[in-house]
Amino acid sequence: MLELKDRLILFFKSFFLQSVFNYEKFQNIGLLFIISGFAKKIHPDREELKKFIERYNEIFNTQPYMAAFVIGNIIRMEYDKRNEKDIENIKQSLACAYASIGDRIFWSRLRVVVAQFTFIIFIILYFCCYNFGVAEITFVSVFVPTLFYAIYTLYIRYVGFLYGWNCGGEKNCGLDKFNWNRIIRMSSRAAFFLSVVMFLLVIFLYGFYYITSEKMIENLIYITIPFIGFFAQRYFRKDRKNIFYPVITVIVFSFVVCIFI
Amino acid sequence: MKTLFVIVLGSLINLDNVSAFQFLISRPSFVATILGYIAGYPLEGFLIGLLLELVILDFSPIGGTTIPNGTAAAVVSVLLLGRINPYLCFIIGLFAGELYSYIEKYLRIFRNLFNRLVERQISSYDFNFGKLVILSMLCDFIVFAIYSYVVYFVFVSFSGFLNSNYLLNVSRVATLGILFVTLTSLYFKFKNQVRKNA
Repeated sequence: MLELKDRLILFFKSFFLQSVFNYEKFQNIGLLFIISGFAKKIHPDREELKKFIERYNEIFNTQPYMAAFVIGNIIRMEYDKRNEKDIENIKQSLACAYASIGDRIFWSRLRVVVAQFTFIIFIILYFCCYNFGVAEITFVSVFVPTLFYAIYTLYIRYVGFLYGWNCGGEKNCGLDKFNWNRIIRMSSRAAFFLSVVMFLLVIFLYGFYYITSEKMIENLIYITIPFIGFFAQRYFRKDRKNIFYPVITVIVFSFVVCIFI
Repeated sequence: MKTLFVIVLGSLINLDNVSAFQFLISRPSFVATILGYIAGYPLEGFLIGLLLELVILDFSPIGGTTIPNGTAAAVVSVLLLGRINPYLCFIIGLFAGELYSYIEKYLRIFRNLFNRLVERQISSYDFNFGKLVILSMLCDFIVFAIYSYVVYFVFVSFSGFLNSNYLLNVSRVATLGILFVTLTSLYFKFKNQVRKNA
């Protein structure tokens, strides 16, 4: 059985899944590092262990937080001595499914929400809490959202091993344990709401701090900047260009207009 | 000495990016705040880090793609604070982060060699893969540290030229423009996602 000690070792080792990320087999070495200890327990014979390791020295790529669901599942199937071909099929299909879910939740949404919370916490503390020093405000602003995110990912990783182990061998293992679609929808809405809040706050602060110059020409430039940024982003996004295109456009614009300042 | 400490700490934190943990302590605002505090610029560090993060959020590290490295951007920006105006530090850091994504790509290609080491280990019945993990992270650490120092050294050498009044104005206007580019990008990205999900 998967004892607490094994679970904790697997859990700790899973932090290093991507440590030898390469373009030939992606996370294969990380996966071998995670499961080799448990494999030694279920395959005391050296030849069998070698065959086991060779089977897992193949392409493996999934989202690092969600990998626990896949790994829990495959070690359970190995423990139950399931058919090797079945294990390989389930491993690959689950790795793809969880990569897609994990990328959409963590990399595309929650990562953004963390940054947005950092900004909003900073604004609230900076303008409302006069007793705090600048260092304290910045530390609280970055630590609090990061801590919540880290705890959530730790939870997903730990729970992933348990679910994976408990439903080992099922093709939809863990996929139905959480309402992933709902999580994706909710995080999209949260990120959108926070984007609007951020936009409004920045426009307000920008107007307050920058459109005060007595020089007419400087005022005109500062009024133009938000529009240049907006239209440059929209223009290049149409052609699916990355953000560096509008960024470079803005820099070129700055070189030109600053001749007049 | 402080420069060296910032580089070493930054290189250690950078491991959180891909190699280990992924707790988001390698995100630019976090790194720049910590390193900025050490360097004596907590507020400037934080603001530069946050701006860098907003730009880099436009990219997602999906399917093994390399994205601009926020940690490299933050480390370079913080190292240059006090020597160059903070707006220009941000812009230099941004491009330093983008440049590091190409180095990261080559690092991943270089790590293909580790597959030969694994095969050799397996054929000799050595199943301790921990040493490969450590070796790989050591490579990451060294490459990152050297890169940060080289970029820092190059720009500090030109700091006299970079501290002109004209460049101060240019970098200030550009930084504000970039802020609006990132906000527009975030707004429309999530507006489309919400619409698709509805």
